[in-house]
Amino acid sequence: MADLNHRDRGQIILIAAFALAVLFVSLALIVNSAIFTENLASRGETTGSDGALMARTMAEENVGNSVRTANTYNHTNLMPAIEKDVRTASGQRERQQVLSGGLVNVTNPHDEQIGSRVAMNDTGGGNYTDTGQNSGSGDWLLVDRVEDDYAGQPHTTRAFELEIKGGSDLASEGSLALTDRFTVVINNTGSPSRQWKVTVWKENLNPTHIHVQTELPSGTTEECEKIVTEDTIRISLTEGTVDSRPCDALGFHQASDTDFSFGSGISTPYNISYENGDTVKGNYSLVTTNPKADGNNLDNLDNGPSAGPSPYITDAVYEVDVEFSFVNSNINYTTDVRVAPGESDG
Amino acid sequence: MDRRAVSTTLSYTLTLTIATLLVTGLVIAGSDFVNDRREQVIREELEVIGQQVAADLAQGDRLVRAADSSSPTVNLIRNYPERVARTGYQLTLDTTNDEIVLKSVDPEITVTVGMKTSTSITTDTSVNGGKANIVYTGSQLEVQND
Amino acid sequence: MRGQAHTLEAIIASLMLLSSLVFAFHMTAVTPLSASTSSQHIENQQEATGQGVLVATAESDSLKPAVLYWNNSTREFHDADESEGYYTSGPPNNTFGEMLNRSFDERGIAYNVYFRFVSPSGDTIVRRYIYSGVPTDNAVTATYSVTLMDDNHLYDADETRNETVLGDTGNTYPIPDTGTNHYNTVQVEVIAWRI
Repeated sequence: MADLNHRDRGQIILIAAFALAVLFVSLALIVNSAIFTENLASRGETTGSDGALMARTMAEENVGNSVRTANTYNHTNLMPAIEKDVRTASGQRERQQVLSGGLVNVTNPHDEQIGSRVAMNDTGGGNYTDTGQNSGSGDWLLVDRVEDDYAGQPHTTRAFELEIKGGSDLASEGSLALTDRFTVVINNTGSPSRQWKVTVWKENLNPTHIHVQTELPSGTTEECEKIVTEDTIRISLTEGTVDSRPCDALGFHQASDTDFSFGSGISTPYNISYENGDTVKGNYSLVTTNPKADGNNLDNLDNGPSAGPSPYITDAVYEVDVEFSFVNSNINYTTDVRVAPGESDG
Repeated sequence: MDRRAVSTTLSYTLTLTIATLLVTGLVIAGSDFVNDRREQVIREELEVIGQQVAADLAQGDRLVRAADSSSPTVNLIRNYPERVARTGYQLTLDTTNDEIVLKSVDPEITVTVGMKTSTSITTDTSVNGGKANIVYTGSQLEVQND
Repeated sequence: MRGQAHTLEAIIASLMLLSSLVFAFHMTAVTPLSASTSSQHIENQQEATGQGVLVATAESDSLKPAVLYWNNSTREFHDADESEGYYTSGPPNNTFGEMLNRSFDERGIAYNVYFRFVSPSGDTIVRRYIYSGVPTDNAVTATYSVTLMDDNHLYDADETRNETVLGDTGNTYPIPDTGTNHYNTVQVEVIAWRI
């Protein structure tokens, strides 16, 4: 047996060392587990849903493009044109998405709501009068009685775009009073009669400064000013942008917590009219839920595009639903997407 | 022979006993320490997993709310770690207190993580760790095992 | 002889003790995040930045103008490198280029931008837009898809709309027409890596 005074003293120490070593190894395993969890925590595996939501936005945009071009160029044969475009675009998009390991599918445009599109579209632009010529009346009714056909629909007018060419008189301060400047007016047909108006003008001394002022039925006004250096001024009343930049007077104003967006405070049915349209030259386009066959508007508007500047009305798709599907190893997302390009966000 | 007052047997026994006591004390303290670490690690891991489940439920909620139709198909496939420091665990969704309760099996540690979603969640489903699916059943979000 | 055995035993015992101590200390120092110049965090951040730049550009309606920033007469993108046909010495002079500059160049992150589109026969074609070299192993990518329609205009060097429309017969735009109203679907891909 061991004679502890001379040799073999190392045995006890060795046993202790072994015990400690086993303890250290188990500690190492536990710390390893903790490190793995902390790494897992930092990874943030939300890539699945971000990709799905972005793909949904892109699909909405792309189908919106198809709807817009079909309304402009294929107004006699709307749904087949939209279906064809959606199919082509979806096929191309699928091939591109497959490289990132996922499947994106947009199919089956259905549940469409057919409205009408009122536009004037001439290469040189026409006057915003009822005949498109300078001699026409500048104060006239564009759309009569826009109704809410589908219950629960948030909006009934979309993609209201003004393309004002430079060289318009676009009354400037100092030369015309506010009531003599070009205004778009929305008023409801019931009583009491309420009005939402937006006036556009440019500054006398700095013609690149464009002003847009909105007046709510309650009387509150809001104005925004943008500098547009291009010759053509593009204003989207429903999207709330001037030259693709957001305008406070056409959207939700944070500071005063009021909504100045298109037609806010006005309920259907309502009329849309122009005032002082003879001061403006250019093109415009808007889509409403009123079907063309309603016959309400054919006094001033031509039935279909005609040669020369003149406002016309055609059938148009107001909104359409498409089936959207996004599948990859982490996520399976299939839903209907409602597409109504240019609709107000409010 | 040496002239020490104590006999070799006694000195031998004493030394061995003291050494054994020391070593045992060391081993007990060490294993207590390791167990304590283990509990802490399990707690941390469960909390991290709970946060991930909450984030995934929020994702599912976002997808459901972004859908324009009333019955979208939402299916998130998730791989949570099967074991936490060598023990299994269970997930329970408690909608009355808006929290996720995670319980490990051995040692029994419970961790709660708060969560809040707009879409209602199926109450009190109990799911084991590992592969899990977050599914929208047409009216509620649910966490299911594969 | 015995002395040697004892010495050996003592040395081995002390070596074992030392190595176990060293092992114990090392296990706390290793983390998977201490690997290379580009850890997982930084890669995630770059990917999020790339995605953010693309989405922000698309939202402000500047992504399509960047794709259509084509000079019809000289048959190349405005101010691109003459011999190559894409931008090599910096971003283009449009809003998209400005946003890429602010998000990436100022932080020492290099990037390539590619356009991926479909040929009429169905093949996928990749075309360089901005090229800064071969990416490293730790590069990340972000993508965004844009649909071009026949009535989209080309854009001039100052980002104003040109008269030429994609559907015109005389245009020299490299991406081909693949449908009736629909022109093509272009996927803009941004690959970023830390230099």
